[in-house]
Amino acid sequence: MRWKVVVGNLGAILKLFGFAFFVPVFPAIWYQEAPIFFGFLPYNALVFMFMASFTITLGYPAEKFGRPEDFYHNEAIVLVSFTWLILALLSALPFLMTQTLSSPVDAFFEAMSGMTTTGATVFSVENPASPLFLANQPKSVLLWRAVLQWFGGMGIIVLSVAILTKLTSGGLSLLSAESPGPTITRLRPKIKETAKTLWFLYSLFTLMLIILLLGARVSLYDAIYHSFTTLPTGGFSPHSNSIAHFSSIVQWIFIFFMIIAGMNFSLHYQAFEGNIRKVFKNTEFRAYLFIIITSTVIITFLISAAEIPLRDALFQAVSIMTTTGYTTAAFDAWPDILRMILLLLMFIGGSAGSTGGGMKVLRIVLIFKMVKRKIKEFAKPRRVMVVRMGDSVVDEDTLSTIAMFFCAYILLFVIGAFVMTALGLDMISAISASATSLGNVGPGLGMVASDFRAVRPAGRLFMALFMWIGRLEIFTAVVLFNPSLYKKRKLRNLLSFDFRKT
Amino acid sequence: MKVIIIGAGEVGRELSESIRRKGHDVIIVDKSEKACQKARALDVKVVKGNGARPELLNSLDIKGSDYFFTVTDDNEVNLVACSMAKSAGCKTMARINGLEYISKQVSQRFNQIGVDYAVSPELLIARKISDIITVPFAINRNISMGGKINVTEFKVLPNSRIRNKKIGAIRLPKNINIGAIIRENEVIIPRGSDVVKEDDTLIVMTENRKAEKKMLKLLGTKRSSVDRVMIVGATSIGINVAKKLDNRGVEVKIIDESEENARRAAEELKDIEVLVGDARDKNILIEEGILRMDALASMTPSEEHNALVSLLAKVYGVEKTVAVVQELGVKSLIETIGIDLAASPQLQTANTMMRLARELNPLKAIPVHGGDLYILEMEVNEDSPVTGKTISQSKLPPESVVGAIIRGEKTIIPRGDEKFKAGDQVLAFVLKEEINAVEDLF
Repeated sequence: MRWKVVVGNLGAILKLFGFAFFVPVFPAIWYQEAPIFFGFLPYNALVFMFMASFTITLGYPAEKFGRPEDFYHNEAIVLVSFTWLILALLSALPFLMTQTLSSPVDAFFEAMSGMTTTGATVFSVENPASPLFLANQPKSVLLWRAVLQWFGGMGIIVLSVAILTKLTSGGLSLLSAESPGPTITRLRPKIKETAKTLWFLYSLFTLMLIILLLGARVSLYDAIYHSFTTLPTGGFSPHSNSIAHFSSIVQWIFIFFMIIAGMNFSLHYQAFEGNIRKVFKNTEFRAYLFIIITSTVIITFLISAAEIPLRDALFQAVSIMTTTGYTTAAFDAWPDILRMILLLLMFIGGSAGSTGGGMKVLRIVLIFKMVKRKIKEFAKPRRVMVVRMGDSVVDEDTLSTIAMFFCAYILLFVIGAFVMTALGLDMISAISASATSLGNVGPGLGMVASDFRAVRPAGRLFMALFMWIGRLEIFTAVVLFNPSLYKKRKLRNLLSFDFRKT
Repeated sequence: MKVIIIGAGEVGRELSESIRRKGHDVIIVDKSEKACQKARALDVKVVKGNGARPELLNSLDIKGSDYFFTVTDDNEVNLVACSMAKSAGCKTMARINGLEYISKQVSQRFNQIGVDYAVSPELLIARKISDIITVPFAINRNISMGGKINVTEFKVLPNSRIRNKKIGAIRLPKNINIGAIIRENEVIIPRGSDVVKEDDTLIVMTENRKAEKKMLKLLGTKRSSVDRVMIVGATSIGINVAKKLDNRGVEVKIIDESEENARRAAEELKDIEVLVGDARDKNILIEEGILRMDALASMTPSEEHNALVSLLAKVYGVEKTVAVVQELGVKSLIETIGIDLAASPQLQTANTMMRLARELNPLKAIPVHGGDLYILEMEVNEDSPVTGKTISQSKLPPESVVGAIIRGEKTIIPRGDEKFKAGDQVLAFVLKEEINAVEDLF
């Protein structure tokens, strides 16, 4: 581990990310948010402008002090893990400086929930009397949450690889450390081009959604806001009643785009290349659609006593499954069996290579195939079987990593549920809080159905860390907790280090 | 004609022997002294050296040669030598080892680099094995006339309906013809008065698979299809046979000792059971259902292993067993100890190359049963002596049978009153001695 390399590259990323802070300046000026200085500059705009310049300036010495040069796999992972923590901390500052949130823990929670595209909030969604009532917050600060989700969705690291020339050589390690899913599909031979293509498609879909929403007579602010939170499967909305705020046609548009966002982006690339047939042949995509359709059918038709309209059933299923977290119905009041279905969908999540969270459909499909294989193997120990995804064989290394991921995920979920119960939530709320944070979904059940106000500060901090771990798919994040990283380099390590360098 | 063969292994020696028999001059080249020594026993010129060396090829006068075969087990030598011979004006054929470069038994894809026909021993043998296995009780199977006619050897079983019957008294279905009977290693061209006996091998011409099934009924088998096959050895041949059988709807199990081979097979074969284990272990065989198998094909690199497993399978009542052999010398030995077919990639390659070399072989004659009997493919011309006559009128020698006539798109299994017309393709079974006499009539 060469910390200087990590810090150096972090500096380069900071310089890039700083520009994100400029976005909320526009609504602050447009809506002339009080208090106003010099007759036209709102205080909030100043805050974001300061944060932008601060972050960019911070990047310079970091880059200077460190060595922004090529790095190895372990350094790449630490860089990704660190970047997400540091950026979340920086992104939390505007909430404090604009005095919309007073507690640093809350601000960190909100920023982390935004960046990881979770969409859980500490603002009060239900209670209009509260000073923290969501709809009463300044538009610039609200938009900042959406901007965070948009950058976090496709990934700030992927963006950096696409833009910064320095990150080219270790790019693959970086991308696979940040991207959701067990493996990364190279869309183009060059990793930089792959990252560019991903961000291009992502931006294109965002733009398409903005135009469609404007066409459906949604205000410009709402259109941009919700496009920024739909494509990353984020789920933040400035409205207390989330998407129920909009007409049914708009809701259908959202359903469609949430499904798009929860798909593997390499499939979109194939579709753009004209290979629509290949998209529908993709095993993961089929499983993805199958799960959505089945759960919708169950919610609407099989549990007919609940009388849930098809659109609501589909919207909730898609929103939870893709880990977006929008709502159009108070699903917490649904019968237990339906809440159970939604809870299970939280674990499944979107497709690999999508912007969704959760364990990913691909992993779930492979886990089922592995279990099936083990059962067969148990009966016939001599039989040799390979696990296939579509026509290609999945190698055993990938499979065992997936199995370990599954175990780690469940283990963390259990720890989270336990801690949250210990911190005073009831069992269902604690379970759902743990699942929704780890899966980057947003809403939970019971006490955390609409916001996390009922959770104690310690719990909020803990859940924010869970979001971080969930977004980076566990292994990348927890690398930072590996003590061997911090050991002083011994002579032996020095030798091996030099050996590697040659 | 003058023929050069590079490679004096099994294929080279077999090939040179059959070319020499046709009266051509053969030069055979090999870099190994041992192979050269074996080749010297044949009536051919033997040269020791690397067949891909330009100096050596020039000294052999390749410009004056007509055919050039490269059959070493080194693809590089085969291709390089061929390409040099091609530029000297020879017709060239190369053996291509392994399945990485070739996807058809006989490929013309290598024309650009000077190989007229590239032949794959592995694919040839895989095709042959899967063809034989899918017809129960068939021992050997050839497809003639571009796939329009099947020629199959069947054994007459004790419970057969046609046992001890005169040929004339058997009411054969329309699209079946018995071409020859092999009894105790003697080939008989049957006449109406000949009697079919138990353990005879009948060489039968059938038009299609349906006709083959009818034949199987006459022979007394209950089953008319092979449903379950065990393949021993996940070699490239084994995997290929498994694929072919699977495509025909046969349930296949493939077993190999090595975990690595098994894994490779599992990766290539979708939905086919692949096992790790030693097929020589009877407990494993029984556990994996050898008692229910209709056929077993052993295709490991070791022929002793193959012979042993096939014998073991016979003990457990598997009706048809096939063992792959590398050395031609043991082929007949293995067949005499009760294994139905000892399939040799080398022999298959030599035969195929021989057939492809039309000018060496003006008659299209496919040897059956070790060359005592031939299947001749002939065309009836306007001025052929037989044109317009019926089969009985046309004075064919007694040691020959007209098996099938292909007239345009139609395939006719003829009786004595069928007339020859110009343009007919005729398929006849002829004993070796009578080939010339038959040929004169067409």
